[in-house]
Amino acid sequence: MGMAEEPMGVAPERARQRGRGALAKPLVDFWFLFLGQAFEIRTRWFWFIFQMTFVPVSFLLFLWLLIGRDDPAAMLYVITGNVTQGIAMSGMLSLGQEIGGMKDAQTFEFFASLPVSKLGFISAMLFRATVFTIPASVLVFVVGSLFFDLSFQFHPLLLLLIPLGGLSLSGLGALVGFYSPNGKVAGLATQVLNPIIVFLAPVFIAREALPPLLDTTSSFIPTTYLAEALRDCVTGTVGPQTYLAILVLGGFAIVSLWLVAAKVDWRARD
Amino acid sequence: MPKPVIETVGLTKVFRRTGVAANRDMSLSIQAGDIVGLLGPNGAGKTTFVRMVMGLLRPTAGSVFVLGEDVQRYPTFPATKIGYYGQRALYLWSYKARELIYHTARLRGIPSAVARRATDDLIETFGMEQTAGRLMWHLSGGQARLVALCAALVGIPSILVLDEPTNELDPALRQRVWTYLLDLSQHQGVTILLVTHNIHEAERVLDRVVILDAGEVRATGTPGDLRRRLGDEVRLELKVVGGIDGARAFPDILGQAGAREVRRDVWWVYAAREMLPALLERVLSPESQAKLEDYRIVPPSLEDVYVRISSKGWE
Repeated sequence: MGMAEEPMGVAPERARQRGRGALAKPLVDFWFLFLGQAFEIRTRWFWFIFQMTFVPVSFLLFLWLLIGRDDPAAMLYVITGNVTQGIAMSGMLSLGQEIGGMKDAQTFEFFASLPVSKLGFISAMLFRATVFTIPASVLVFVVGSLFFDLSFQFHPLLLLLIPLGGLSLSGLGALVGFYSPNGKVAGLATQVLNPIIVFLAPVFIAREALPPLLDTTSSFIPTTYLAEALRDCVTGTVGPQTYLAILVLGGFAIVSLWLVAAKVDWRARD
Repeated sequence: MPKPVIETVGLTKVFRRTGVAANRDMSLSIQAGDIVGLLGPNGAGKTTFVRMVMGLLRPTAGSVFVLGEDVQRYPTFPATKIGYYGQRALYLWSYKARELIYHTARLRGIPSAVARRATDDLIETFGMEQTAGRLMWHLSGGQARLVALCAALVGIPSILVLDEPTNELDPALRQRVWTYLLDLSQHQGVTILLVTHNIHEAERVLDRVVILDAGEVRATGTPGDLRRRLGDEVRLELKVVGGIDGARAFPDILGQAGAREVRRDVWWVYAAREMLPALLERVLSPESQAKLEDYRIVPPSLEDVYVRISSKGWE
């Protein structure tokens, strides 16, 4: 039976089996899941623009009022900290809240009833969230350089660092989203985790400025390494410590992926 | 005997938070090409059952097999074989109608050209040409439900699980859906498990019916088998004049156990055929005619079986 004779609306097993191999399906899934996520901008464009512009810039300017222009080193930490927070949030907050929201709206069950992998699903959401942080990050660097006379250099390692940064926290975000009973609880959980990963780590301040206990505990928080590597990448000080930080982030990312693959169950428990 | 396409053995679900036993020891098997309807009052456990079949909800006890595979062991297996339509509306507002159907086909592994053609065919079948390019956000509830149904139907290998597929659809569209499902079953061999409250319309497409109540299977069989179990009974429908208490106006008919006011001023009562002459004499009396707007005698239907089981239990 040729293609033209295949029944309307019914999946021809033959066509599926003809497929394009084991790698093609995950890539196709990723692309279409990402597109579906990106479509959100059609109906929530105002909210996205607001988040990408007003929120980071107002935060930056507020801190500038506190710190002033006389301490460029501190402003560097503020700017890179802002970007670090954005990347980390794309991995955790976005996933947790989005999945929780999808469960509330029953759209999660729709995707769970399709033959897509958990990893593909999470990766697509994370990629969308990460892509959508880029304009805010660029804006923060532009404002930073205009207002505070800072100059930034953008090392190509950023292309690896940014997705790794989001991925390093994606497992936590996915767990929060999948195991929260609803979107409200997921949102609450991510809001509770936010200060832990941002303010208990040397994101906005130097590691040396942390109390000894926090200095120790910050070693176990991915944003520590993300912030350090980001600072190196934008100030032209990439060195062995940067690669080490990226390696550690990679380890967190692997743990994240393992958490999603092994510990997340699509099925509702109750 | 060929293996069932869907089989459940002692399937039980008790929701921990509420302690409600939504499904109790349900054992069913569905053969290839059948259209099986799950009927039951609200809260009977129909949606819980189909979600467990789909691997979307973890059972408390028992087993589900889809094409011989244990869903407990491989909870993602049903997604590779079944097209699922959930009970609740799909809030994917940012998709255009055509996109949702096409993307679903692609996520099911259907190659691009075949997916496009299948999408176009469904849009044409259900007359969605005007709405295909619109955002789901801009569609009416019924239109959005139809798009979601098409997303479930597109690229289906052999099994469909549909939870109230005709909800919010207008009568003409409902007929088109039933006709389409019947065609899938008869000509493509698709196996369909569906939940519906639209018993009257679904009756013409169902090969088998399973009636649930309080999480248990109360009756199962072909529609004809179930109707025959009502024996020689017919249904007498009486519409009393507005404002009159039917049970008081006709204590000998509507005041008896088994008579129900199914909606305002409309009463149903089942009676053996040999009782009909006496009932008609009563109904046609001048005194009764003054209190009645309308009356009908209706041969037994699946709806009657359903109502009887819900009201008094099945002996």
